[in-house]
Amino acid sequence: MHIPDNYLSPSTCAVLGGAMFPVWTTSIRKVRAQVPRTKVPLLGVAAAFSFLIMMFNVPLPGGTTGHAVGAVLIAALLGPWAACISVSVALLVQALLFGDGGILAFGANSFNMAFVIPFAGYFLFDVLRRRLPRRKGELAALAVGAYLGLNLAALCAAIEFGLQPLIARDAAGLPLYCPYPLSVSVPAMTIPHLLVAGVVEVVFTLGIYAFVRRVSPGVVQEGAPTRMCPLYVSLGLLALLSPLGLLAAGTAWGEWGPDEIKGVVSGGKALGYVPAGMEKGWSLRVLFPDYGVSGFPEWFGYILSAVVAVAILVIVFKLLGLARKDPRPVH
Amino acid sequence: MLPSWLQRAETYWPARDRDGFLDRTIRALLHVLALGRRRPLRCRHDRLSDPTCRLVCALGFVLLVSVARSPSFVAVAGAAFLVVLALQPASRIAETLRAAGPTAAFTAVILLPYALSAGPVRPVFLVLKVILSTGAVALVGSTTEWASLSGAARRLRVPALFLTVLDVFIRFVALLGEVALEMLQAVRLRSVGRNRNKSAALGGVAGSLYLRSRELAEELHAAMVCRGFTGEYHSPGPLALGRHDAILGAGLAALAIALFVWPSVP
Repeated sequence: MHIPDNYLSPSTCAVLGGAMFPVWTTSIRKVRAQVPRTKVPLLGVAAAFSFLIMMFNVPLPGGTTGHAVGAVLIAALLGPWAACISVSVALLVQALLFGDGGILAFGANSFNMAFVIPFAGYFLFDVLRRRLPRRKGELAALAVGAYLGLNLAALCAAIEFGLQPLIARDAAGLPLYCPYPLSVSVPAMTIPHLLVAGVVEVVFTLGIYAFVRRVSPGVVQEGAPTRMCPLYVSLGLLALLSPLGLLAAGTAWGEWGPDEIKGVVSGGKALGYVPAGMEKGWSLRVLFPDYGVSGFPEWFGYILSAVVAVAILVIVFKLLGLARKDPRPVH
Repeated sequence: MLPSWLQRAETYWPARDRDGFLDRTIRALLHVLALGRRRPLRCRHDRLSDPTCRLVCALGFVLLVSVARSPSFVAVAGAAFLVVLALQPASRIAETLRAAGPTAAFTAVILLPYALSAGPVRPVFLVLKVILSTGAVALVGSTTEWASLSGAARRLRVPALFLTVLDVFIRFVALLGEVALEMLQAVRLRSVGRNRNKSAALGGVAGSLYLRSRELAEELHAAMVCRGFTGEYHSPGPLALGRHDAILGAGLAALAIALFVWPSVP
């Protein structure tokens, strides 16, 4: 679901980036008002969880791969505004350090994964939780929220991809950016997510939610103890297990490189050309391209990338917590 | 009846004087004094690792990063450093980055012409090395009190004379700084209107400071001798290595192996 650069037209990127701007500013304001300073580092831990969850690629029907996001999990633990910030920062680290998701497409990726998933998923979770009381009802509501949130985001990404042939074409009438229309992109994105990725999202969300509630209940309940040590240990374990994501062969739909897209078969026919916007498009040189380190085995690069990203996210949010001033109490 | 001169309105306005140099000197001294008074931020994890082990690991880390010729190794060392940094309290992370940041920025500026002509890869590699080296040393400085550091250095057989000089230097920087500050503030307060003799007064401050430092040195030496100081630093007790020291040592050993086993990694 990480849309690379040159798949969306600059106008689409600008519109979605512009749409995200008020969401980010409101999120920052809401988090300042709602999350106490001592809990800001938890946003970093949440962002790290989301980052690691996204590293576990699973094979999807059709020969592509997909992954969970964990945004509804963060929304259930810390609220949707905090989830928006955490997932946005995780996406930024992915784009800047690992080249996963484009820089120009950062707004679009944030719209899909940091806005649609947490807000839609949390809305469903909250509505269902009120109607389904007790612990099991809460978990069922969370499962529904996580499943539908991810699938809604996949649908949004599919629409963004599918609109490109209508928006930008070259002189020969060929699409400049993503070459697949809505009739191809919507089923290609949504069916695998409905069948597999959504289920993986539910498994991760319920598993980690139950774990956090047990080892550090203060994250969810006011006044209960918040223990960071088990959270850090579980982050370390997830980082060590992240090479499991390499077992899924193939590239996620809509994330092919310019060298791959020419040979991608859709509807029994290879595309046969590279869209001009992709061929001459902009690309960023990153420190760890595709979560790898040159000279080291792929699995080692994957673990190293996970460790670096988790540490950076934790450091960034700890510093944000330090820089933040709690509002003065009103007498 | 008040005399007429007392009834007149006060019309004296002192001429404006330029105190830039004096103000800057006072500010610089205040900064040095603040650094001298600063104590390392305490954290309960600090007691879990031995200062000697911390010092050795930091020096070993700096050495490995310095001799590394492979960007991949620097990436591995960077990951290790980031993990240690992420486990620190926020204020200590900020302090470490404040120490490493300006040095890295200065290095980046120096390397800018090279980056423009030969591409950014090697300069980024060098800047990363600088950040890691200065960051590791800053982290040890912010986690360890000077007394523990000098004890650790003594255990590592650093000559006693060297440690005495360092110890006295650190104490005297604070003491003489306070004396100098008081004298500079006195010069400033007494300079009503335009004072053209300020430079002469500053010379006096320097001379007085020298005399005061001699007095202090003699007093300090006498006090140390009275308390039985024979010029020897007693080595602190045996090393109390724990689980955290083992983790630090194992991490450093793994880095050393990575450096020497994969020397050709690009």
